[in-house]
Amino acid sequence: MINFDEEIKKFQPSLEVEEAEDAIYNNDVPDLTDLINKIVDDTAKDK
Amino acid sequence: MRCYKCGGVLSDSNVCSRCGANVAVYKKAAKASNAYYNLGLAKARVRDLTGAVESLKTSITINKRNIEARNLLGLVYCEMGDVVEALSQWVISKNIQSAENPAESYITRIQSNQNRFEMISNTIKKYNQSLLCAQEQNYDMAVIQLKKVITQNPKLIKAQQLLALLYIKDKEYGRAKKCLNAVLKIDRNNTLTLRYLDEIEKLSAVKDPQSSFLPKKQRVISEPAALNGNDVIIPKSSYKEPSNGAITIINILVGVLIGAALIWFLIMPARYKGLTEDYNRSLAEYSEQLSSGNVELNSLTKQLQEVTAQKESVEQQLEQLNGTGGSNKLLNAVIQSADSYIANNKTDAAEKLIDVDVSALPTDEAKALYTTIATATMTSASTEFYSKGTTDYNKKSYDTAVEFFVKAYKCDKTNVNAVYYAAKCYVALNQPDNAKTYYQYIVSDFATSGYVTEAKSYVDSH
Repeated sequence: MINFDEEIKKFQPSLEVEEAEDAIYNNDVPDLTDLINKIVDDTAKDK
Repeated sequence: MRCYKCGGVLSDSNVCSRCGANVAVYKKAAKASNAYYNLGLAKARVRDLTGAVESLKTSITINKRNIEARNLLGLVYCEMGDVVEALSQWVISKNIQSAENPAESYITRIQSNQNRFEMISNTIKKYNQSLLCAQEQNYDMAVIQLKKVITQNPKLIKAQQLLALLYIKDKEYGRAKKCLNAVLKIDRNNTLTLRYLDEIEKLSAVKDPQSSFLPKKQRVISEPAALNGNDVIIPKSSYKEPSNGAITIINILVGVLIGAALIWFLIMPARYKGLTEDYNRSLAEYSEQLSSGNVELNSLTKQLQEVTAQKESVEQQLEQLNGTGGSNKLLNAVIQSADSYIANNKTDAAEKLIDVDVSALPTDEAKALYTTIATATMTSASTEFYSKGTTDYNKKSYDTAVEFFVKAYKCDKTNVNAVYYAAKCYVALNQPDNAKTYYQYIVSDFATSGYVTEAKSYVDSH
């Protein structure tokens, strides 16, 4: 049975043109490669 | 594969030959990212767009520099109607690698048609507004907005799904199904869509509670497709083309006759009317010209008459000045009479004054001269003329006799004998009109004379 209120919460707004710039600038998050390299570097430093 | 630090081309070694960085983990991560990219590509090829998005997102989470995955993700977003999301991915891809990147051409193509891009952007805004309305329980406004959105951007899957959800809430399962089927055409294995469809099936089946112990054959719900505002109902036509050639020819002939009749009754009268109007207009113009010409002619004729009258008047004045007539003529006669009187020729002097009207003389001196001469000569001249006339009358020379008798009368208006014998001479000369004139003188001026009876008799008989 579909619960309308629960389902409506799952819908997210789409990216608009005015928000695109901020979304692009904030996209520079570290990926898995960066994280693993960081871990490796930290481990190497500890040694 | 390139080094994540310096961008140098990597070899089989786990160390970058350019910067010396340890690229072993990076290589493994890159391979994993590529694997997810391949998975996403396979899903996209079979139109499992939702699955492709998940795989590609995982790919770029592992390796954000995987531009193929980003470009493909952009394409998938574009196909799902999220054009702005797609543009974001391509811009990031272009920033990572600006040279030889297909993302640049994708961006150019989107931006080349500004009107369409603006329309798509507006549909995304309206979708967001509709979502807000639905969350605030303003369902009617949300439905209205979403209908406009899917009309302008039918590929926006989120809008179709949200509208379907609202229809399900209002138990309009047919319309909801239409929206969900439209989504399935774009995104074949969209989980949410499949779930909604399954729910609709269940809800529709609940309406029909009849059931037997045997498993019921799955009835295809032959519900007619729900209508929306854009559907056009075309009634089934009962027209059938005639197959007989003769009827076709007859139809053509009838059509030609109708066309000819239309031309005759509608177009020709208008044309004639136009021609008649032109003719009448021309006639009116000519009449006007003719009238103005006549008026001018009348005016000129009147002027001519006035000028002629003036000319005659001037000629008369000129005549008088030149002495060829008028008062000058009378003065000349008086002067000549005076000359004759001075020469003791009384008869001639009187004869000169016979035809002069004393009242017409211009000056008092002339009148006085006339009176003097007339008093002195007229009586004797009358006697002399009468005598000469009698002589000629006795000789039956009536033409000369009548002249003397007339002169005698003119010199002496009391000389009834002269009048009588003048009348007698005119009778003898067979001039009844002149004779009657002189007999009338006797009747009117000499009523007591002995000639009056004869005169009356002649006048009455002529």
